[in-house]
Amino acid sequence: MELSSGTVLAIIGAAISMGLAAIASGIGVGLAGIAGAGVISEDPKKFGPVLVLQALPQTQGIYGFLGAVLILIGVGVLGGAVKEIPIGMGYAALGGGIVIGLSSFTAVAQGAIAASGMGAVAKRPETFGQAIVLAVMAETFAIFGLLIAILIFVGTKIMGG
Amino acid sequence: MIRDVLSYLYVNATVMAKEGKFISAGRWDDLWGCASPGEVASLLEGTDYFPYLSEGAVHEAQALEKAILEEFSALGQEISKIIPKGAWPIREYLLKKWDVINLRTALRGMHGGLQKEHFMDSFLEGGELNITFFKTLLDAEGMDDFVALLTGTPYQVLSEGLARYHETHNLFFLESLLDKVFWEDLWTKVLKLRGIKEFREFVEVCVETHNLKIILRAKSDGLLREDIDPFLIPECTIIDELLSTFDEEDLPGLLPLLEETPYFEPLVGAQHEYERTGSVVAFEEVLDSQALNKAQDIRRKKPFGPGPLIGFLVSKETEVKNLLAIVRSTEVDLSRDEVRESVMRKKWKLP
Repeated sequence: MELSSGTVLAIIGAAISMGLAAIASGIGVGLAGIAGAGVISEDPKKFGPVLVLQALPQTQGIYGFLGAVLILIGVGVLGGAVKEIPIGMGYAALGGGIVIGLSSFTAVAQGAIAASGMGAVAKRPETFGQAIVLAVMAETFAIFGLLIAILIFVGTKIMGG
Repeated sequence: MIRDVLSYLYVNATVMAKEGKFISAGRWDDLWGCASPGEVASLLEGTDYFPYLSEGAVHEAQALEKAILEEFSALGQEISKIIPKGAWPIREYLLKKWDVINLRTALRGMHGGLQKEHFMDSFLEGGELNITFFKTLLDAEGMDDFVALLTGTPYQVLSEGLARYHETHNLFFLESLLDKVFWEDLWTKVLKLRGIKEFREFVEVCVETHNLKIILRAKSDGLLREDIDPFLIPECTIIDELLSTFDEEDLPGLLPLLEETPYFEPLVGAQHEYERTGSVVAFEEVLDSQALNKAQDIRRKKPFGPGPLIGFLVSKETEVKNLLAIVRSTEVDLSRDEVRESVMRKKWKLP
């Protein structure tokens, strides 16, 4: 099967979206997990709050997955009939994938914040709510990234075209 | 930066969880008023110290003190196992401390002429030297013999303080040499390292306060410059000016020479107490509190590196010192206010 350059660029965009988001989320979850293990080794009863905080950097991975799926549906890779995508639209899809992938690196900072939050919760359990709010702040920019990507996809008819 | 964050994540989270188990302010309020080891022991229920309390700890201050120190020693050993490899000086700080504590115990026993059986069980695991070594020290027939037994260890330099000890019959100089060996060794090592800048800053404060305490005590005792050289830790620039005019100035005259240092204000603040009591203990107490202040400062400024670990270790030591002060006060029948005042005066901030 011969794929047009535009389609290939869009598929690369999907790969970047998921790939970078997976790396970033992995690092973030890893950072939080190391700290979580430290807290649990001292107080296993803190597993609940620790798990919630560790899960937060995973959302960027979900955004990357979502972006990749949207691109793949848009170019017909998911759904059975691969479309002939003009090269300009392919670049647009690639751009959308890059913006999601790069903005996913907020997961690294979120992991570090979550790790500190775990320490704070271990010391003072009543700070759980504040720890979540602080960690969620880092998420904002990943959401902006996802929104911009969706606007690109809609504007260039990759979505709904 | 990222490497620091990663390598200290586990240990920092662990120590922060341990900080959650520090004795609470409310419990301290109750502890100040304890009149017997039994009362202290009952208030330690639910804390990390409780599993270490033997039956004897309920009746005897010495057993209770040992239990508290055992918990502290076990904690040091636990933390030393999870410290990142690059922070090996912190591990040495944790382990060698127990050699100094054990040697101090033996030294005080020897000085006080106590019977061997009285403090045979006082030594604690956790250091680099074997417990049996400390027990053999108790066979010494006098201080000269005791110091001779230290030959081959880093502590053999205690021989340099023997003459002064015999002259004054004061342990201060031998104990100062013990501290000197500990801090000088650590200081030499951290000066050569590029990393763990925060720990170097902490050790620097400890080295400077050690030297300042020696200088102030020596001045107060009317000693000459040449008398104190063996007790001072080299590579400490803030004392250069003090030493150059040591023989000319009196004690209050030395303080303005520290004006550019962070020690000036606290020392001047303690000057009134010194003039009232005539004792340099007032100065020593404010100098001691500088290490804790520094550790807390590092903790605030470096939350992702070794800051929380250093802050925790020093805060824990403060908690232990406060507890020991309370336990000892039950032996001399001090009032609640006197105990509280004696500890608070030392500016050991409660965690």
